[in-house]
Amino acid sequence: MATNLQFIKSETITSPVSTLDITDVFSANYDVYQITANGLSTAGSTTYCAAKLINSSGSVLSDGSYDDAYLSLKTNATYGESRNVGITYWQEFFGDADGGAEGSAGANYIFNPFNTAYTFNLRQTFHAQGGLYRAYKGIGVYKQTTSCTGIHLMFTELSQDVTGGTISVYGVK
Amino acid sequence: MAGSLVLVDEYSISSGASSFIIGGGSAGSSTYNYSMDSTYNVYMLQFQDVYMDTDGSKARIRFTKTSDNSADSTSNYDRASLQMYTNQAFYDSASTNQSYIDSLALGTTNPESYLGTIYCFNFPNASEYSFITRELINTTNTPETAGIMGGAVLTVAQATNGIQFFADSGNIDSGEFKLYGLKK
Repeated sequence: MATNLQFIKSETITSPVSTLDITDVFSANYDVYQITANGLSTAGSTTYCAAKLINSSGSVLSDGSYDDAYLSLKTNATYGESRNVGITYWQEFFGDADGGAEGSAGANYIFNPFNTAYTFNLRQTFHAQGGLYRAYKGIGVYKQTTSCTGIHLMFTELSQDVTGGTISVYGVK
Repeated sequence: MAGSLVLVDEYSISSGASSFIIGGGSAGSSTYNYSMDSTYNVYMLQFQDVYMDTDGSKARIRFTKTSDNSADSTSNYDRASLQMYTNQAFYDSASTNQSYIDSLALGTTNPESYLGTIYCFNFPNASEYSFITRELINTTNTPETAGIMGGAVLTVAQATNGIQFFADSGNIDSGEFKLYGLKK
């Protein structure tokens, strides 16, 4: 098992960013990728950690071909469901980052980003945000057969930059 | 290419004990004395074959503090999980301000045991809360089989370095544990 997860690239956020491109990580070498996030945080209030794909030309794919669904498991309230069809990004791909000791993390999988099939993801994240604690379990699909080589994380929905955290991408053999 | 799942601690229970620690530095139950530190951003614990000496008791978990390697037993654990039973309706299970992260009741043999994967986030970071996500398969003493998915947090900004499993009653009689760091 120890040989089946192979490190590809890591990006550490050390100054405020509204987006983060992790490029040249998907290739013909793997069909399945694990992408982890740790310590995603802001300087103040919360922001959503959404995602789009980047194609082999380096362009961020922003067409309305993203679907997702996730369950919000709440420590203090009734669980919630979110379903989206034909949106321009995967919502809350890494949950919600926040300031102080709060923030978000996760260990997600992406399937078939490079070959010409639809690209899918499985998500498992946890975040602490404004004194609320949420585990998200979800899925997503990008319904185009575009070959993708990277992922674009975006923290722009609530106009709050992310100021810290590390994202790592691994190939699964 | 070298693998990126690096085994940092492993432990098999050879005789029952009321508690034991994976990672946890010098308090760890293995001979590795491994302390989860910033060598890795994310750690993954895989375990299986966990059952008890007392029918219906539970193997709960806490995080150990890097400061003294002891388990944090303060009432600062929040958790949420979905329990997917094979024989009944699914169940949403959540709690706040507990002194542990709970599990389902277990039996005294392998068929009434639990197994799973826990990802550990932020553990070495003294300025962040410690998070886990977990995916488990649990067959209870009833017996009922449930898949459990969800997460938990220790809402104390401190460095943590391991996971303690402890019995709410009697001993944990069996279990195999492997802790990996994800190379960065």
